[in-house]
Amino acid sequence: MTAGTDRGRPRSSKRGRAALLGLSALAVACATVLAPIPAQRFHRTTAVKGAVEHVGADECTACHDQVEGHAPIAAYHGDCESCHGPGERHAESEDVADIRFPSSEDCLACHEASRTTHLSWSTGEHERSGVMCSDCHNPHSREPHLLRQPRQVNFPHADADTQLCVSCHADVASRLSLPSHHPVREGMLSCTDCHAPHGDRRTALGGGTALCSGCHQDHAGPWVFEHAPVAEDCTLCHNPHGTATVNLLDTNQPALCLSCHSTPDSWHLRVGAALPVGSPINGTVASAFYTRCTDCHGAIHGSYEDPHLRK
Amino acid sequence: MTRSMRSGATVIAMWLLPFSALADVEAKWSTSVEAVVKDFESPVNDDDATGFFDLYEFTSGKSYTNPFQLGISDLDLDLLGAQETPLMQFRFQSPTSNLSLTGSNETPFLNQRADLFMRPEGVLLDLDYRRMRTDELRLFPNPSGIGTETASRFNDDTSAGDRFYTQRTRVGGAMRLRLGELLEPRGQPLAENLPEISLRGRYEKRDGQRQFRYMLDSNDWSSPTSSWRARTSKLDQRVGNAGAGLVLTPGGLFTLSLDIDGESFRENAPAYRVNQIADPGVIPSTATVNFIPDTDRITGSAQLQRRFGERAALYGGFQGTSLKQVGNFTPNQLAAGLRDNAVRSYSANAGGNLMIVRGVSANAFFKYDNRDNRIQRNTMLFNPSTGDPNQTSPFLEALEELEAGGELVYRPQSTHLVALGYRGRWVNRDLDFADPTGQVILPTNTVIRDDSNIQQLYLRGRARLLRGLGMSAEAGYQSAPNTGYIRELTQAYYFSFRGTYSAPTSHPLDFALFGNGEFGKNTDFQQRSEAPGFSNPNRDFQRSNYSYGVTATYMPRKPLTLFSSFFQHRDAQMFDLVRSNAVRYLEPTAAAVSFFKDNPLDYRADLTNVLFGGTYQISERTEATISYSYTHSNSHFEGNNATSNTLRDASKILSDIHSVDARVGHWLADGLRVYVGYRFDDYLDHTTVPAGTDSVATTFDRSTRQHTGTLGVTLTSALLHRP
Repeated sequence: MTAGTDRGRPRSSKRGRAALLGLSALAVACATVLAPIPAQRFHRTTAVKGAVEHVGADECTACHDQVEGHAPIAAYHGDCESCHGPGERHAESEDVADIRFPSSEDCLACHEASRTTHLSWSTGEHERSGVMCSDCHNPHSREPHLLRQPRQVNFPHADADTQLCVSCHADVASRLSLPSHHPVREGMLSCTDCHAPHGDRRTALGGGTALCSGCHQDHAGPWVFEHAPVAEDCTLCHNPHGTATVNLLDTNQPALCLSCHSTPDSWHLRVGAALPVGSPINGTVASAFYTRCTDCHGAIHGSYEDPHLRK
Repeated sequence: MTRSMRSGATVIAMWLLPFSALADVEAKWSTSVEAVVKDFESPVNDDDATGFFDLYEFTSGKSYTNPFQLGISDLDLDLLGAQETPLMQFRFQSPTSNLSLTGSNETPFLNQRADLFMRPEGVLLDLDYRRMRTDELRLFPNPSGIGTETASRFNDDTSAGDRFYTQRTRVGGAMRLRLGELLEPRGQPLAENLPEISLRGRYEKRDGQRQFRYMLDSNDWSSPTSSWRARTSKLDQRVGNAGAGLVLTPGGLFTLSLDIDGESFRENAPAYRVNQIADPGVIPSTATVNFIPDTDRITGSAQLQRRFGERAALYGGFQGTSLKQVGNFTPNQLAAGLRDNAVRSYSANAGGNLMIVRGVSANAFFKYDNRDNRIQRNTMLFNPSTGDPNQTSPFLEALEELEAGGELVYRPQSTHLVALGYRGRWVNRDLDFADPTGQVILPTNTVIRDDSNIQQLYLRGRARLLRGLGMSAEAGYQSAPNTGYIRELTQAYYFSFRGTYSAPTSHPLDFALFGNGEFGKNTDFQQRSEAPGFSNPNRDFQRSNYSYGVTATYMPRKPLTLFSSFFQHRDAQMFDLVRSNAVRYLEPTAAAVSFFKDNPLDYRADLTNVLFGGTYQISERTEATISYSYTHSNSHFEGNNATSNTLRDASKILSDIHSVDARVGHWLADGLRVYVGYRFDDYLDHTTVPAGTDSVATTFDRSTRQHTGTLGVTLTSALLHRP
């Protein structure tokens, strides 16, 4: 039976799916080009025309004696106008539209050259998605790394980095609640232990196993006999955020193994007495050989003795 | 007070000492002391058994009627200088385990973390400490394999009292020296070219126990109960890392980062050898069981970046890594002279973006990886002509991977963009197939192939359309002329989207909708037989993998906030189960292998996660929070054929997790707060696996219910500064 035939479960039309995807893309494209911009909705990040005179921090703090419960500026951030630009117009009008809020470019002007973590920001995932430094960092904060502090009710024990990440990445937050997950919601690991929020994940140096083997050295080998996917990319079998299966397997056994491997009747129908080749897979055989392949192939990542990864 | 506690206190005091001499230093601190009492319901209220909720939350003395713990759950300390500038910040959390008053006190502090950030002039010093324990569920019901019926070949040598877990303790840190501040003003010329020097290090200790499953060869066992075994193995690992880096900005032309890092990994637990396994009739062997190598890894990297204002940015890098087996070698390795077992990897990347005209830009990237594992192959371990054991499977000697792509971006406003992009991935695998005169897998019937060639074309966009309404989306098409694995899709559509809406009303409503998915197939894999006239079944694979969800926060009136989230995931995979009359490696010399299709399998995984709750500010000093979460997992074989029906029960996952969390806190005075909490967790395992001959998946009820009560006191520095 080929893949294109009906196997007894409803299938959505391919044309329908393609049309839906195309329409969605078109809608986003049209909206992007045609929609009016409600400028008052967003903080200005460009220079205020006509504002050239600096008024000094004392003038600013006369009104802004506190920002989010803190002294408005820490010593290492200079004065207000080094980031917000000349405050002349704003001091007169007190209109929020007359003051500039720093863009990522403003932050990078100081923070780029001295931090290797910022080298690939300009082409990174967050920048390409329109995330700005100030979406995650609050330059007026006193928290470590100036991180914003959203509290997630379902992650009370998670660290500050994680609480911030899952405030946007709700899909990942849900996966971290599944039966098998990295202990992130328990606070033992942080999103930033694996992810570089300033970087470009497409070009992260190192192969597909480099990141995982930084903590799981005992799976990295080098093996004498190795399971090829282990050498290539851990995510061929594992989903790091969370799964219903044990050991973060992307797909439960035996489905994960059987989708690639054929099974020889000469071995996998041999229970007690060998069954004839081609016998139907009955209950006895299924429970012994078609439940968890790694019960026998326990050295699934690699072995020093057995090319069949059984020890 | 234990020795480790005394050491910790001494170190902290030493850190604090220099700051105490500073006149204008303000200290802000807060800490919470918690008493936690638990109640476990059967059947997992046993210290020797790992229940579901023990996986990530170890409870010492679980067998007590009500395990009781007391300890500091968190401690924050900030030393602030002028303008509240942080000089030193200390964060400590011990969220799930404290000083146990019931049960063993051997390991009282689990699941802890601490971070120390120090910012003296010109120095950034970050130190961290982590301690965590994760348990594994026993895969077999008990050491005797109860539930398996007679004549089983399974023989579990683990003890009923063995728990399988890993306990990690880690200390590490990084120090960055800012020469511009350290050498001011005389060193400025140097600092302008060498702004930063960094040093870093880490040490981790891992202890625990694992359940190894393995299978002996037919010549290693004499009775059916000896071949298929499980064994408790100690885990005793030490990992040390050290590294250094420079950031160079010669003449301000570009930024160059140079780093070198070394890692030492040692597994100190002894590896078993087949002849050490006490079982009558076992033939002594030099073969080891689950040998884990000690390794040294050295990584060096260089990254370069240059920005041209807002118009363009370029970066590129190179990394080389050597991972080498050191220390103990297996007897068979030594006999084969295999002492140069190493993997060498090289990686290079480049990327950049360019503003073509205002509003229109382009970006591109590439990444190249090369992994070389050309170990000495002309040995008795591999060469079938010199004896057994020998290589049967293809060996991945080298791997080359290139990923590249680019986008054309139109950004009419800072909040709007649309981009048309392309990315491709090419993989070339150098597979070594053993001498076909022996019993080996051949290129014709292997399940891994030399090349992958995967191309994607996509459109993505982001827009903030109306007041408070924003959305982003990406949709693309994938085509793969060559695939290395059947699970790589030859044709696929994928999408992702996220929409947010913040209603600008007096009753704030924040709403987010998100989703992603991939739908595709691989119909390009054949299971081919060497023998003429035999069938070559196509291994069709189809996959629909998608998820979507919604989150909402609503404040109907000032003291009340409601929140909720919903997440649904479905993974549907259809493929043909392919069987053969004999093992693939018998072809062509020993037997003609005939492949044939069994019934198609339709794997389905459905996951649901729901959360809702609210917070209520009862008075100025009192607030209450309550939440409920539900997680449903259902993984099984769908379809209606003999094979699916048989496999369904043997490999099903069907569970529900319910959790209710309630907490009330009250500020008795400035800087003094008390809180009480109650948490109910219920894990319901609905799998009912029928016991059968030789079954390993016998009924094994993992359902667990636990109640947790908390009484805590929070103290803050405001207590000492009351007017």
